[in-house]
Amino acid sequence: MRLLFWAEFFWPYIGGVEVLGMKLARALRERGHELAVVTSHGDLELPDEDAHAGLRIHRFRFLEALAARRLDLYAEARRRLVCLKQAFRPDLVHMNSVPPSALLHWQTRSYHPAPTLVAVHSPLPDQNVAAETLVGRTLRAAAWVTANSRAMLEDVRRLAPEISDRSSVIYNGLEMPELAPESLPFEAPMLLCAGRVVRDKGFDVAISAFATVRRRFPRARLVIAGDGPARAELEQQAAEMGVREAVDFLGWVPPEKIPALMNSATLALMPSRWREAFGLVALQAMQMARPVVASDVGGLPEVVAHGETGLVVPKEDPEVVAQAVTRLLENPSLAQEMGAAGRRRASLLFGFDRYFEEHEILYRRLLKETRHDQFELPLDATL
Amino acid sequence: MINLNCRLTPRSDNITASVIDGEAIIVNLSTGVYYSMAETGGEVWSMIEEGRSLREMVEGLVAKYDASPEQAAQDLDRLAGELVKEEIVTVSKASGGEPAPQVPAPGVRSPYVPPVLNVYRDMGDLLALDPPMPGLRDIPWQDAGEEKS
Repeated sequence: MRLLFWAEFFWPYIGGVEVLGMKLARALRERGHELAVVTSHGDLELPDEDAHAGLRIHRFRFLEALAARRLDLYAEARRRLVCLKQAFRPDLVHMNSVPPSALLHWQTRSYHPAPTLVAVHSPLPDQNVAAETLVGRTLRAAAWVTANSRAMLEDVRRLAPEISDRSSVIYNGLEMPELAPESLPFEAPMLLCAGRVVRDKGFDVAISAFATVRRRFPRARLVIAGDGPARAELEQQAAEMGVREAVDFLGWVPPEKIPALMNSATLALMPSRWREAFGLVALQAMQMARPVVASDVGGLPEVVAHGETGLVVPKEDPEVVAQAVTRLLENPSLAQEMGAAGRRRASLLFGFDRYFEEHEILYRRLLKETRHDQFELPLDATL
Repeated sequence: MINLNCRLTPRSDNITASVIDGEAIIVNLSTGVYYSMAETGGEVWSMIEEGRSLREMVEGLVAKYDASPEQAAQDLDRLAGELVKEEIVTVSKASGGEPAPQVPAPGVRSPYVPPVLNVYRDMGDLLALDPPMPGLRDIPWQDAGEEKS
């Protein structure tokens, strides 16, 4: 099967979605499928044509063209895309979320029509009118839409009710790390937040909660792994709350070092305030048998089973987060049980093999049932 | 009021536009909204850029496509209204007194698809979504010289 794997960002970008996309693309290639990755340069100096881990990567100046409204770059990207589609002749297009560059996919679809799978794994922009939007048009035009949680599926079906019979959930999946989980440290408890350091992640709530927890557990530490625009503000907040010396800002931690980092934590905190699509960090913590305290947003409660693998709390409430953390730190056996249950749940529901196979089965089904994309543009004569 | 004696002029102070492979791409620079017009729409945009009057555009469409002058005029009137509303064009009077469009001999024309202005109001929102971090230069394991390819 020839797959055009479309991801606005791809290697060397290493966000959760990018890493998962890379794993899926590599696994598909190893299974014998042919892949061409369509992606953008982002703000990095990267070659247009590249190869990584046996994958052919084609980078286009989509974002520069669209953000700067450079129609000369747009025309150039479109021409290259047409050449790629005609030369590669994909059987299927796997589009990750709805990137702005989806516009170019639909505008060039007639040069080589193929069913498009749209895989939504991050919240879509809030919008109440889907009729005149790229998101609405893309969802409706897709042969199939997957979402990585029921919460995301509800979102996409709300935006495009007509896709209800051609949309489904494929939960994220990760391979179990080779590293074995270590026992949870309680003598000097460590709370771990990981991810992009942006306001949406609610790390400020974690710091506020931590200040409360630390009064009860003076040897506790909070580790924030990740970087982003909110970091300076968080450092200042920690200082103002008198806990700066107990909060470690690690900056970016490479994906392969996450399991070891999880092993050093007593529990993981995900006090997100935005609609987390899934919460890969929660899954990574569960894989290493860490209990998770997560807010009740988006797909997080589907990943973290409240009372079984962690505690799900209302968002924006540092006191409730502090209570949940305190409960776990005061009850090591409960925390350990939840951690172990989390690892079982991760293995049972959120493994990579299942993730891969669900995609492959869906691809085959889509090829069999070939439904032409129905984007709301007049069809070219070649269709 | 728009009539066949009018001419549509692209608002070059407010838009950037280009016809690529027959499809017009238009961006409203003040709102960030993207538009596209394919096929007949792309042809109409080319005629707008050439400064043709609506009457001349009707003639152009009727000559090439299997459309009646009434249908083409009606579609162009609707499209012109949308383009004005979206602040893409302004309307002015063309030199008047031109004859009504004539129906050409049938048999040589392509099937007619009314021109459509496709609107993408969420491009700004989609472009504003946080990009993943970090960039290549910031990845610590790259500096550590680990093999990545």
